[in-house]
Amino acid sequence: MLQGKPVKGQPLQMEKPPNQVLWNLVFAAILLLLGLGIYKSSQAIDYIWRWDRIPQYIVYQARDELRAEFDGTIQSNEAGELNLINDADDSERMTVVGYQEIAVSDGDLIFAGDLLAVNYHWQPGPMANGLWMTIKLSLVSIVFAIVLGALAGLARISPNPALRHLATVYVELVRGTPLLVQIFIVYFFIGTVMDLERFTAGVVALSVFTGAYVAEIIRAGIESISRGQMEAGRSLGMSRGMTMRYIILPQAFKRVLPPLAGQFINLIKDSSLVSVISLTDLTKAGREVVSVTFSPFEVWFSVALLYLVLTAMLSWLVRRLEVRYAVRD
Amino acid sequence: MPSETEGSLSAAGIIRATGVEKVYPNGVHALKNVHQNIQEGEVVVVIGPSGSGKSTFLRTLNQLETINAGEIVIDGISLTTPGDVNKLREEVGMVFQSFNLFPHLSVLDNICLAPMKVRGISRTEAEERAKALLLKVGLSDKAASFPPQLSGGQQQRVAIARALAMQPRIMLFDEPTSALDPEMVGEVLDVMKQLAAEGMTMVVVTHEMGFAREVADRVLFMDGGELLVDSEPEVFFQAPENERLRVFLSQVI
Repeated sequence: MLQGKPVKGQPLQMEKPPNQVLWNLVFAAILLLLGLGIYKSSQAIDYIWRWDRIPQYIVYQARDELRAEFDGTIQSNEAGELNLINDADDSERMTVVGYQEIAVSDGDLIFAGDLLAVNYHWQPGPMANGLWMTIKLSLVSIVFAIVLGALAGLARISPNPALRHLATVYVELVRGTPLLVQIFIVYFFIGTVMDLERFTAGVVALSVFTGAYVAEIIRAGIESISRGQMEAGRSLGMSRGMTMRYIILPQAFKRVLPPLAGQFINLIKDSSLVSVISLTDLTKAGREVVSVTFSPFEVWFSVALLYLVLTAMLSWLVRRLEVRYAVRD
Repeated sequence: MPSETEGSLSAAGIIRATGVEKVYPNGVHALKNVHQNIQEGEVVVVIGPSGSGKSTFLRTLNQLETINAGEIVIDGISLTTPGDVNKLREEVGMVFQSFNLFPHLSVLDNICLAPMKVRGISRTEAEERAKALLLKVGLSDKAASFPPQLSGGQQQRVAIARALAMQPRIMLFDEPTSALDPEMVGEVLDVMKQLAAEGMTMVVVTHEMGFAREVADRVLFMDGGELLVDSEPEVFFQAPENERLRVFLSQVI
């Protein structure tokens, strides 16, 4: 850049900009060193890494076996299809067609229980099932948290003292106690009284917890819209509710999107705590896989990666929403 | 002057305020025994130093501020009797110092929203009305723009169009030009003058002495929550009797 007068249309450079190439290289070098350090230290400890054991707990090929139901002989018909024909009664037969792997050939003598053919199909492993449970739990809880949070957030700024105080008590109670304790209370106390299933108890605990934070985010978002907007709406003859709906909330929504996204990412991560009430979510599945593979390091790294994929997807989605709503500014 | 105010009570105006008192929760006594009677089609300008209660008085007229004592009657409806305040506000348009346009809606939607939601007219009718009003304030080409893309003067003219779309019988202006760059004041005042010429009942809080002199039927001077002077513009500016008004005028002109 030229020294002296700033060029029109370009930002005023107060100091020399850092060398982009150099510092990006430094960043890459630091990452590389870190990775190397982790690799070296993993070599130093007495631990045998068995990454190859992990994928089968995410997805595996399940075998569907076809076994003989009676004693007989394999015969091939004119179409080349193999049939097992009962030696004692040749009207009874089994067709061995449409299998990926056939274990018998024409003329074989077969006894009941022998393997005839095998089909393979992909089957989700315990970790995939756990991931699905985490997704289900998080999605359902997010929906309820939004509803609960929106109601409580609106109640927090309501002119009606009963609503206002109720919402304040709710928010303070929930924010003042640990989620883990809340999960225990919901499952063991409320769950017993109202006969809740584990999943319901998990959803209740997570959405009540997140709802309190959502309420505060929504309250702050509404209060950040200038007073003049409400006055303008009211001065045009619109009711408080109408002004809220058409003027305040659409503007507040845009502002609360980033903090809400952060809260929902927290919810996904916090959902790992429901494993204490024996809900087989991703974390519980991880623990189970550790107990059969004896490979805790690989399992927990994989679990972390799967959580990261979920939260990254949510971040990306919200970013897209933000871009869509920011177009007009 | 009390005598003059009470004398005009004989002909009940479209706005009638008697003994209005306003005390804010923080103890500020913003309005002290304010009497005022405004006839249909009158243009009344309210002048006074900041903190004099002039904006508070304006805002009591559409109940953005409630009053502690006294009575305000708009078009025969008393504001102190409980009733549908929204009904009243439909008849009283308001223009704010800070425009308060809805930034998430286009100019056209800013104008159409209230007539559609409150008056219940169709979108086509509302848009027709909005386009006519935009033509009137000289902004036909900005219908699709969003408020943040407009200059201050343009925003204020849209705000006037938005208030007019409800077809109010009274228009309140709360320092409509105070937030504007000097070169944009004229375009807003021109719209207001045109409105006054069409016979709209207007109550205007402003520091624009030229506007008061030229357009006002009456000029009020408020200070310390009291309505001190109520007179025709010539008398108000040429021969002010009130000492505080003389001091104020010498400071601003």
